Amino acid sequence: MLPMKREKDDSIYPYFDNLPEPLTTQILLQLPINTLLICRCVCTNWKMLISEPRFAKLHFQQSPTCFMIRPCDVNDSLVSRTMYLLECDPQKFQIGCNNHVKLAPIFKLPLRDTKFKNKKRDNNPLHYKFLIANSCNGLLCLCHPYKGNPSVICNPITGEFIRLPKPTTVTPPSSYKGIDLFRLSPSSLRIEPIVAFGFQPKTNEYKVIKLCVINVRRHMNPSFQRLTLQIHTLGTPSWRNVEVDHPIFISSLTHATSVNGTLHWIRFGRWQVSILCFNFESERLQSFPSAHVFEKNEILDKGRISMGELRGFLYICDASSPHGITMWIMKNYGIGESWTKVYNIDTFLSNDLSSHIGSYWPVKHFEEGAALLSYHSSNCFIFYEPGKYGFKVFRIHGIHQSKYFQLIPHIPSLISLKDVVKGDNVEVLNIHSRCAKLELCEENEVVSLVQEFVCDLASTCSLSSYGKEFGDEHAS
Amino acid sequence: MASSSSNLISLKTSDGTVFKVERALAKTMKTVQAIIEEADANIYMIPIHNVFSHHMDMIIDYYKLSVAGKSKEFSVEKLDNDELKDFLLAVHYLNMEDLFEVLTQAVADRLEKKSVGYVRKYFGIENDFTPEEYAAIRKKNDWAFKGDDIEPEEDEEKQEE
Repeated sequence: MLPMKREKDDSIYPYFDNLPEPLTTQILLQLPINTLLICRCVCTNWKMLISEPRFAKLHFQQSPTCFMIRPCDVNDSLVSRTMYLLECDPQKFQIGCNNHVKLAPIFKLPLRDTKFKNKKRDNNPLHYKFLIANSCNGLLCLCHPYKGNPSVICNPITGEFIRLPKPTTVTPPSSYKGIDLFRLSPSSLRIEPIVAFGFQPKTNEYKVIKLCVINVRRHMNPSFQRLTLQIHTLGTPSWRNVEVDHPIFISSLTHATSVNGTLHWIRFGRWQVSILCFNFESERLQSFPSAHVFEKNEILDKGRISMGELRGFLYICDASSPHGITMWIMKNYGIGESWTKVYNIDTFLSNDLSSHIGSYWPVKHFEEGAALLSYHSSNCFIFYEPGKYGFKVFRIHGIHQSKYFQLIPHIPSLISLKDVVKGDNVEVLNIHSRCAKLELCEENEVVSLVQEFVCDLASTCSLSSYGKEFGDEHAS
Repeated sequence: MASSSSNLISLKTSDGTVFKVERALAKTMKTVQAIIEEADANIYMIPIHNVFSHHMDMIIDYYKLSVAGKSKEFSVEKLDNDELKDFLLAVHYLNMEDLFEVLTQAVADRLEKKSVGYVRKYFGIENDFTPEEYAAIRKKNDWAFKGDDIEPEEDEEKQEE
C-alpha cells in the first residue's frame, strides 16, 4: 500500500517524525557546523546527542576544511578577536538581497588582558591581541604578539580556552669559540621564537613547542645559529627543554602543520627551501623529504608557497612560478618520491584578475584535481573547482581600506577541551561567560561577501591534472 | 545458495513486484545478504518488506550509476520530503551503506540554514526545554543565530526558506 501523498502547502508537516535514532544521528553527522548548533537547540535529546564526545569526534572526522578569516589592520589598530568561518562550497552560500552573502556565524577569541575596560580612553589594541600560531584538530594556538610566548589553546566553536603555563625565558649563549658574546651589541643577538601546536596520535596528547633560533651576527653577517626547543604537553604543569641538533640554517619557518604525530614547516634558508620537521615521539628536529617539489632551488617568493594538511595528506601549493599554480600531495607519508603533482593550472585567471597578488589554499583534492580558494589583495575570494562551478568570485564588503584578512585553515569541531586536556590540573574557561559580552567598536562593522561573477572554466584557463592514483578517469 | 547457480537474485517488494537483480547488487544490501547466507536450502525468492517497487527502481538506478563511476550524478532532488523519508527508511532496512549516506546527506542538505522552529516541525519534535534552559542554550550559541530572524516559537506556523 503506497503511502498517501501529503499536500505541499505553506505550513510544514513533520516529514521525518519517528525516525529511528541511528538515522537521526547519521543525518546530524552530515550537517555543517552552524546548522548543527541550531539543532542543538531543538530538544533535550538532540542536545545530549550532539554534546556527546563520541558524536563530536565522528562529526569532526568527516568535516570538510573551512577557513577562519580574521580581519586585521595594516596599522595594527585592531584587537582582531572576531573571526568568521568561511565554508568552501560557494554553491551553498545563501545569497540574499543585493547579492550579499552574510558572513555568519561570528567567533571570538579570548582577550589577552582580562582587565579590558570598555570606557578606558587609551585601550591599546596590542595589549589585547593574540597572534594565531596554527590550527590543529579544530583547536587554535594563540601567542603573545611580541615575545611570541604561546599563551592559550582555544576551540573557537565552543568558546572554550585554557591558559598555558609560561615557558622559561631562553638565555642566550654567553660565548662562542672564545668570543665573548656579551661584547657584541644587542642587535647582534636576535632570538626568533617559533611556536607550533600539534597532536601525537599514539599517546593521544597535544603538544606545543617553542623553538628559538638564536642568530649571532658579526659584522652584519649572520655568523651562526643555535636552537633551543621547549615542549609542553597539554594538561601538564610545565615546559621541558629538549636538546636538538641544528640540522640546517633557518631563515624562517612557516606553515606549521601537524600530521602523523609530527610537526612540519616550510623552511626558508639562505638560498634554498625545504621542509623541516619535529617528531613528537623521537623528539628530533630534522629535514623531511621534499624531493622534487623544490628542485628549482631558487629563492621562491615566500608568500606564495603554502603547506598544509588535507584529509591526513601533507600538501604543498606552489604559486610562485609565473606560469601557474602547482599542487603536490605526499601520497605515502615520509617517502620523498611519493610527492605527486595533483594539479597544475597553467593560466589561473583571466587578465583582469591575474595582475593581483594572492594566496592560494587547496580546499580539497579528488580524482580530477583539486578545489582552491584564493584570497586576493583586492579583497576578494576566488573559489575554483574544475568540473563543477568553475570560478566564483566574491568581493568582501564592509571593511575599511586598510584592512585585510588573515586566513587560517581550520576544521570546526565541537570536541570539548575538557576531553582533550588530560587530568584535572587545567581549568577550562569559556569566553561566553567572560569577555564575549564586551563590545569593541571595531566589531560594529557588518562584513559580507558580494558575488561578482562566475567564469566559465573553458574560456579562462588550461588545466592539466595528474590524478592517476586517485582513480583518475578524466583526461586532462 | 540462492535460487540457482545463476547470477540473479529474485527480490519481491511489498507491493508484490519481483525484481531479478545481479548478485553483486544484492551484496550491497546487507540485510538481503544475511538472509541468503542464513538459508539452509535454496531460496527462490527473497521478500523485502518496507521496500516498494519505486524504491527498487531508484536503487537499481543508483547501482548502475555507481558501477559506471558516475555515482555523483545520482540525485534525489525531485523527491519531496515524504518520498525521501520513505526511501531512506527502505534503504536503512536493506542496510545499504553507500546509498544510505547519500540519502542522509540529502536530508542534511535540506536542513541547512533553517531555523530551530523549522527543524522541529520537520522532525515532529516537541520543544522540551524549559524557558530558562532554552534561553541559556540560545545565549551560548548566540553567534550562530546572529543576524537571522528570530525564529518563531512553536506556536507560530511560519515557513522559512
